[in-house]
Amino acid sequence: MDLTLPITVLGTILLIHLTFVNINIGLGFYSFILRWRSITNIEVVKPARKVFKFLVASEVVSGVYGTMITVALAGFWPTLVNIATIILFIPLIISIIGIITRLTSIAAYWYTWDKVQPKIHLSIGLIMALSGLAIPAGFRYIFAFIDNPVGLASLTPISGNIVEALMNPIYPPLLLHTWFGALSIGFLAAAAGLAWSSRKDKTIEKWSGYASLLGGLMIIPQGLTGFWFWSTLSFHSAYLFYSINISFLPTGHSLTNVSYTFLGMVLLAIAILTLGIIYYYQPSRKWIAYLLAPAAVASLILGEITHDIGRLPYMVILGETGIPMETFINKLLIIEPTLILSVIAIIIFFTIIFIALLYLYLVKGILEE
Amino acid sequence: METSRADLSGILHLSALGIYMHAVTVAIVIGFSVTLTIIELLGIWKKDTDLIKLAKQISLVIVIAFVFGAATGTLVEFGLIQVWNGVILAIGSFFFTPLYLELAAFTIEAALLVALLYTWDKFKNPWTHWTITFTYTLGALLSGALITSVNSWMQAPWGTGEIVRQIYPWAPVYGPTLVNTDFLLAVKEALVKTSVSLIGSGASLVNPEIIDTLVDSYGELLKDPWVSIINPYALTSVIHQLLATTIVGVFWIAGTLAYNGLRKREKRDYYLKLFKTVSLIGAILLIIQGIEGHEQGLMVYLYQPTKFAMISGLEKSGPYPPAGLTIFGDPNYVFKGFDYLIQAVENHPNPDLKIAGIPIKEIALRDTLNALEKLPIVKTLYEFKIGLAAIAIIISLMIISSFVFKRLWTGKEKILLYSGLAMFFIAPAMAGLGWAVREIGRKPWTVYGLLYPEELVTPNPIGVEVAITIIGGIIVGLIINLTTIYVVLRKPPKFLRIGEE
Repeated sequence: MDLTLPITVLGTILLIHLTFVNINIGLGFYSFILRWRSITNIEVVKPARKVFKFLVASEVVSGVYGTMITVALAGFWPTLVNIATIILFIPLIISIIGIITRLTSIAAYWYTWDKVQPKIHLSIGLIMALSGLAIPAGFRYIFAFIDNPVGLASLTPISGNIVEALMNPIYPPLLLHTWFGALSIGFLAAAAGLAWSSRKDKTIEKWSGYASLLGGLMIIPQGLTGFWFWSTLSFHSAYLFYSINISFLPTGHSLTNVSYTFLGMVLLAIAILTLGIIYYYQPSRKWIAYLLAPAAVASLILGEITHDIGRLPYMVILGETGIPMETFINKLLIIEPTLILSVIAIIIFFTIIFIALLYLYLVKGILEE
Repeated sequence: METSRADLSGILHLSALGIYMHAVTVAIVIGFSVTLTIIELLGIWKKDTDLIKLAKQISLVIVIAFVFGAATGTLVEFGLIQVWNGVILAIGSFFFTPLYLELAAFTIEAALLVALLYTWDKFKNPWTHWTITFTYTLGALLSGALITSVNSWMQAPWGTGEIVRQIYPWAPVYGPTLVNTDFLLAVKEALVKTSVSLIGSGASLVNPEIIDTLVDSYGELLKDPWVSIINPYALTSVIHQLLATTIVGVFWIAGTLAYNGLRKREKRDYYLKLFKTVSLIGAILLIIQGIEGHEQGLMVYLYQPTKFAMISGLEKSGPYPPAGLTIFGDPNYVFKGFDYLIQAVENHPNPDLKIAGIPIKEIALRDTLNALEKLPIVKTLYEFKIGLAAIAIIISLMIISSFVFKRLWTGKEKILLYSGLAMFFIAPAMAGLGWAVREIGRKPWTVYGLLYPEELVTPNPIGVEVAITIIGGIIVGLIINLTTIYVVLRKPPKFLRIGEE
């Protein structure tokens, strides 16, 4: 089967999902921070509630596309999914626990608002925020695994050490980089939403600026962990390292060049850091907040393209080479390209309607409330 | 690593629980959508604001159920794939088309659900909104139909031609041979070898090296990617399952209205009017389901001889009047029981054939006897279901008669409301029992006549902690779902208030 279409399908769904998941993780933390501040400052109650409602609405999108990823992965790359579910059994359980805790705590946080003591509510909020981190804590093992398949002993039959798989050296920097990135994106999304709200209520403006400052500052630890991730790749996933640096450094051979998307991501990150701080001091310049959120999403997309396209033509990296994507692609049947294209066209068309209406609903129903 | 019989039984129960819990969300999303479409249509047509208000409330419940369904869907899917990862082979082949189309159906559902919620009272012409509702419902039904077609292929593996019959001489022919016979038999051979050697689950064989070898040797596994959709068993099952799911959803709404009608005497007329309208939809669907049930029974008779013998309690061949009368017009028609199936195996036309060194006659006899073991439980569940269906039909006729013989029911409205309340429980019990018959009746196979659960289960041991996590998650998810629905209906938060309310 031609690889372009399956990559397009998976890429489209994955990018939509990751965008909203990252926004949600950050929103969860910002809602918690504002709730904490609201205990001593009543002015913060309103933005704290708005950010939380923003989170609930966005959670829908990530949930829908999260479900779809499983089908797309298992349908197009069945053998890879089989290997991952066997070797990464424990990380996937961690994600499942994360999803359960996240849903439970979101609901509990909502129901108990103003119904229990603020400190108890805050504790629930902390669980809600932290549980958001548990979901990528499991799923990021899949990405670390395809960068460097630690734990896999044999393909025929599939066997490996599911505990050894947890020791992947790529995982810690990748996860930390993801977490800080998610916080940054979520805070900047909150900054944009609250900036819109502050057109009618000036008291909110300050909290929009505060979100932008936090979102901007998160770029610093994200950059540091990014550097750690980048250097770890040089030892444990050399091919991907070459793909990322091929235009700038005298590296080894790579068939893919993602160095410009990598550079784009870094430059955007610097711009986000700068603008985030500027907006904090000048929150009346709302256009900055409106710019920061899409910039953060663009940075995320560039980062994911760098990481995932950089592996091509391999699906799993083995040092300076890898296992080609063709190895894992579904060969069990001939799939008509028209079928793949028709469905992806429907998905894109209705996704645009879905997200546009959801945000219209969000803006009218929550942010302008 | 070996999955013991006891572990396997536990895992099967775990999966059944997961599916039943998920079914609650499905019943709300599908059943409520159909009701919403009809209620909104009637509301616009009759210019009845009460019906429109009810339609808005239903749409709110659907949104909540959908959100939880989407969020827990990831959990259920990953749980299933992790536990039954041998099924990935089928997801990449027989189930590819329905599941891939499901992505489109799911996106349509999500987009139009937000659209219908957002556009209440936004259009001058109310039929424009109804069109969105109607299209959304089509998306929800399409989604349900596609998933049912996946399950139906596991009931009747269409496109495998005579393969099953070669092992089990009592089996029918499953349509034209659209599958690569050599490929499938090679997989089966490898799976049996794996289970015989106790290396562990056959799931670990679904890997690129083996698949490449098989494709290089025999070509693709599947010649027609649409095979699970064109399956005649699927066509009937889709209607049967969607009707069953819709009936549950409709009677959950009707039952809630009946409860409110009984509890709030001052608003009884209001609730009674809404109850009668909604329950009439359910009553009509239930009668249609009774007729359609015959078609589903016919499919079981044609394509699942062991399940038919279980349902009709035919340990020995003999008449089964309900089926004899409806299928052949003869209540004394003699159906083949397990005695015949066992005899057919003992007189196997290919006794020398072997799979992984085991004579297929031995395999066929063992499996037929395993199926026979399930007869008492399946028969009991089926009879209980039919008993409930009879009560449900009587209640449905009562509901319909309240429209025809209005005077007769004057002053006896409470009977109707209590009946509606009973249907709140009877409808899901019927559907649940029906599903249990469908699933247990398929045993000892996961894919009828072809694959066993132990061939598909994960090679990783499923510990108590994993089971508790998944079960706990599913139950907690359901509780949150229902609590949210209750809280939102009682006092909708401002951002969820609909239209001009």
